[in-house]
Amino acid sequence: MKKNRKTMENQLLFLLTGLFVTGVAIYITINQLLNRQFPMGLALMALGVNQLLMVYLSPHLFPKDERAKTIIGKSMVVNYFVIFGSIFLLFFVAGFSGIHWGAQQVLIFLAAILLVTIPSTMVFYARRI
Amino acid sequence: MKNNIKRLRVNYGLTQDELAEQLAVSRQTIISLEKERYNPSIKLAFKLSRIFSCTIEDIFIYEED
Repeated sequence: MKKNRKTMENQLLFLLTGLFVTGVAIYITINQLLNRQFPMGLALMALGVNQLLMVYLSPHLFPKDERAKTIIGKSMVVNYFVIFGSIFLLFFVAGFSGIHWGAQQVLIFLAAILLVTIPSTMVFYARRI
Repeated sequence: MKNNIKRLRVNYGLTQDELAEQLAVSRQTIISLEKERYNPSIKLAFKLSRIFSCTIEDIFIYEED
């Protein structure tokens, strides 16, 4: 029972922070997109989405729970390929288009990808397992 | 893998929360086990057999593919 209450508290916290961070990120990103700049708020938006996905995930992820370990393990395997796929995509974009991103922009892009795909794949496996 | 966890749990008068607490796992794990979506580790299977005072074969039904 204690665990359930703690889980609900965590869910509420993730929901509130997720909504706040996503709201701020949308505000920043829209401004940057309208000014035709690289959306530096991309990572912040990904963080907000990450928090919102954690609302669903928090009852599924407990320390010492073997199902949680299975979900995390499978998700990490998928994300191993996602990170390589993203890097190859960046190589492709850098080589065959006129887009030239700086190191900080590449890092923001990769961080945003990982912030969204890690909990997304966990949600996928939490629903399947 | 098919199992009799739900039937045994109800026979023993345990809730999913109580069984989860005895096994030191989350309630979601019990739900997944009962829905036969998750196959437990051998350690968890032994814990279940201890709680229900029966053999692992009485809980899990092995089927060849």
